[in-house]
Amino acid sequence: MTEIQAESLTNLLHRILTTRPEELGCETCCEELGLLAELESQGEDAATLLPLVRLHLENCQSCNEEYAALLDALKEV
Amino acid sequence: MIPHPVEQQTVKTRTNQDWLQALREPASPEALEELRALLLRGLRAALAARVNGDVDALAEDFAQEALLKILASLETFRGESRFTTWAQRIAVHVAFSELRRRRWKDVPLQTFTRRQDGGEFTPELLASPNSSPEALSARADLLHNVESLIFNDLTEKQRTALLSIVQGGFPLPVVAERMGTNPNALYKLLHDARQKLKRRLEEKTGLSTQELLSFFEEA
Repeated sequence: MTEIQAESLTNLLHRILTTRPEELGCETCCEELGLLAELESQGEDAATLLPLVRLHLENCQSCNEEYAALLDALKEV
Repeated sequence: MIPHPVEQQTVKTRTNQDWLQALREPASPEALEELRALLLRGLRAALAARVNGDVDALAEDFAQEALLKILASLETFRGESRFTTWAQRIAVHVAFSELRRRRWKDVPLQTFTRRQDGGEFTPELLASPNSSPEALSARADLLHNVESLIFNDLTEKQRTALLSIVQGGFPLPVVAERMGTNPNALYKLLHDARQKLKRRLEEKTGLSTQELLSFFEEA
C-alpha cells in the first residue's frame, strides 16, 4: 500500500483542472505525430492546427516520449 | 559506429506513391533495403540519448520488426505526412513499446491509501516561498479535497490507473496491459475520471475551474 504524495496530487490537480470535454486517445494521437513533426519542423503553429494532439502529449508521458524520439529520428534521415 | 554500406549510398528521392508501389508485393529488394537503412539511422538517433547498452543491436532488432509492421500496414497510410516520416513513427512506436515492456515487466502495480498522518500536506512542497499563508492554506485544502474525491468518487480501477501513472511513473500502455485493456480504452477511463473529479471539485468548492486554476497558479 502506498500513500499519495503531495507532489503527485499537485500534478494531478493541474491535469484535472485542464481537462477538456473532448480529448484524443493514444492511438489517434500516435497517428498524427508524423504530421505534427513535419508541421513543427516547418515552423507552423502546430498547437493551433492540432490542439488536441498537443493536449494529449501534455497528458500522456508515453506518447510525449515517443514524439521526442521521433523528432530525434527525423533529424537523422 | 561503422555505417552499413547501403547507408553510405545516396538515398533516392521517392514520392509517397513511389514508396507504396515499390513496397507492395512483390516488394523491390532495393526499396526494402533503403527503408531498412533509413529506419536504422533514425532508431539509432532516437535510442542513443535514451538507452543504456548496445544501441546498434537494439536498433537492428527494432528496425527489422518495424519493417515487417510497416509492410503489413501499407494500406493504412493516409498520405498526411511523408511516407518516410510515417514509417519512422511506426519504428519509434515499435521500439519504445518493447523498451517499456522490458523496463517495467517485474514492477507490480501498487494500490494506494489515504495519508496516515492526519492529512497535513507540507506547504513548502506545494508552492514557491513567496506564496502568502492564505494561498498556501487554500491550496492545501484543495489537495485534501482532491484526495478525498479520489477515494470517494472514483472506482478502484480509475484510482489505481490514475495514481500508478501520476505517482508510480508507470507508462500508460504498461498499465493498460496489466489491466487487460488497451491504451485507447485506458486513456478514455482516465479522461472520464478527470472529468468527474473536475466536476465534483467545482461542486465541492463552489468555484469555477477558471477560479480554481487562477488560485492554483497564485499559490
